[in-house]
Amino acid sequence: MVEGMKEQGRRTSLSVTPSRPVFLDLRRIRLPVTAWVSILHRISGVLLVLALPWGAWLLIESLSGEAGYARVVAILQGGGAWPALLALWALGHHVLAGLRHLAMDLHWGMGRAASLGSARWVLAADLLLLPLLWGVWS
Amino acid sequence: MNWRARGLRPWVWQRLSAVYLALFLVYAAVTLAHLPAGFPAWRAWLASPLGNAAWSGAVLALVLHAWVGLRDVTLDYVRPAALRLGLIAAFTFALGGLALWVLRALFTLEAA
Repeated sequence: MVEGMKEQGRRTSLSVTPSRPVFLDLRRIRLPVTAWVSILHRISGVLLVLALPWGAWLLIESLSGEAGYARVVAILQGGGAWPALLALWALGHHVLAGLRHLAMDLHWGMGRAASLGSARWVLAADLLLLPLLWGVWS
Repeated sequence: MNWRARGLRPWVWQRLSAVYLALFLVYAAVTLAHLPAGFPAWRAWLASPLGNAAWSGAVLALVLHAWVGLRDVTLDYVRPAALRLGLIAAFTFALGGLALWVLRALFTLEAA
C-alpha cells in the first residue's frame, strides 16, 4: 500500500495491486431481500437522474403555450407513454425504499425481522405499483 | 454531531430534500387529481403563488438530492481520483444548468 501513496500529508488515490478474487456472475449471485431493495433503490435513482433532462424539457414545453402543452400531452399519450410509466415506477420504488431509509434513520425497523419485513413490503408494493400506474395512466 | 466532519452535510441535504420531495409529491398528486384538463388550468396552477413556490422548491430539492446521490454513486464505483473529480464537476454543472433552465421558465410565468 505504501508504494501507492505519492506525497506525505496529502490524501491521494491508493493504488492497490488487485490480487483479490472477483465474483460477478449475476446468474449465480443470491442476495437477501434487503440487498435487492437497496440496489434497486440505487438503480432507480440513476434512471431517474437520466430522465431529468427529458422531464425538464416536458415541463418547460408544457408551460410555453397551448401548442406546447398539446405537444407534451401527445408525447405522453403516444411514444412517451412507456418511458414516462417506467420513470414513475422507478420513482415509486425509489420513494418507498427511501421512506424505509428515513424510518431507519429514526431507528425504526432496525431489527433483523423488521428490516426483512419492511423490505418485503417495499418489493410487494413495487409489484402492485406497475399495474396501478398503468391503470391510472390510461 | 460533529458538523465539521466532511460527508455529514451532503447526507443531511439528501435527507431534507427527500422529505420535501415526498411531501411535494403528495401535494402534486392530490392537486393533479382535481385539476381540470387543459392548458389554462395547468398554467394557472404553476403561475399561482403556492404552485410556483412549491414547484420551484421541488426543482431545487430535486437537484440537490440528485447531486448527493450521483456523488455517492461516483465515490463508490469510480476509483481514479482525477476521473472522480471530473465526473462530479461535470454533473454539478449539468444539474446546476438544468435547475437554472427550469427555474427560469417558472419565474417568467406571468401570474394569470
